[in-house]
Amino acid sequence: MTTTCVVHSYRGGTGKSTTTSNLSVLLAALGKRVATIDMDITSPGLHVIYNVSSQMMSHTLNDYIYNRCSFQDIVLDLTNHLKLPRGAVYFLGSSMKPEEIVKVIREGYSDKFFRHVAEKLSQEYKVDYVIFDTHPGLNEDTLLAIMSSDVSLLLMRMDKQDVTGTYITSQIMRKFGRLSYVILNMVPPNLAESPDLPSEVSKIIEASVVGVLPFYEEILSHRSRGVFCLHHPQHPYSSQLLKVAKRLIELTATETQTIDLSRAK
Amino acid sequence: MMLMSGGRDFKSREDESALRLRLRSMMSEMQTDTSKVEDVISRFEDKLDDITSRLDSLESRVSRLEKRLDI
Repeated sequence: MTTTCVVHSYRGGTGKSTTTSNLSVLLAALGKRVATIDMDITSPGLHVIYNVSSQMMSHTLNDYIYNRCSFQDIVLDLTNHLKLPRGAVYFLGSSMKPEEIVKVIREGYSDKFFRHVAEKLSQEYKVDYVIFDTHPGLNEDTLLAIMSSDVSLLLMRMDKQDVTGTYITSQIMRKFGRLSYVILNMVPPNLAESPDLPSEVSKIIEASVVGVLPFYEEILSHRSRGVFCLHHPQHPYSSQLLKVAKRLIELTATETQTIDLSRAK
Repeated sequence: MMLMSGGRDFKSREDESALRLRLRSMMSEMQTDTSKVEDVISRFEDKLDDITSRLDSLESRVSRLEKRLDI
């Protein structure tokens, strides 16, 4: 059984790629096989956090969209690269070449793409989770990724701009019949101490808060030099996000189904 | 589980398929109640102020207690 999950936010800079990469290695630490896909095609960055060089990433999603390579060519097995003792992490990157980015924005791609990629990963790589790291906002391709996924994780900071967007996004997801959960990220440390915070925010934005991640200067200081949780496994950020990973496993074990294209029709 | 047949074709927007059309239809039919959104923001702000003031009050009580106990 493969669960497809979108990590999304209404606004940029909320920590989607940081969360996606760290969540992937934590799910792997829990014995899961995970594939992460950099669907932020207009401004890809997940490869930086994984320390994936351009030499390692010989082909990208863009090449696959335009029939320039096979599916196997775009799937990078990062399990050994990240020195993971358990589970597996695969990575599918987007091109960082401006000409490729402009081309895919201009020409677009089919809505079948997301399901196709998830199916291939399910069948050929036996992954438990496919995580899409999306472009922020409500553009059509992002919404298609959301519609094609089982679960959406919405990242939200504690400010008025984010709460507006997260509320609107969760309402759209509800309309699409998709499960959406909220992770409060970069929460001011004093607020994060409140045990009432998740339930109070859940009530207001009408979406379940599954994690509270305080703001840590260490994450900023880390400057995307590798996956933070692997470098700092004992850090509170790692333990908080591990709780989210466990919660995701619980939720998806009970509430999602195997990939079934008929749902997307 | 359905597989793509006849090879893949991800690059064309010409053949707009059902999912994209459904998405466009759903989004165009949406009628967002902006006053409800404003209400959500307002309640969010109030709640955060409430939590912050409760935490501040707790902190000051702990601080007073520590002073009394000479900790």
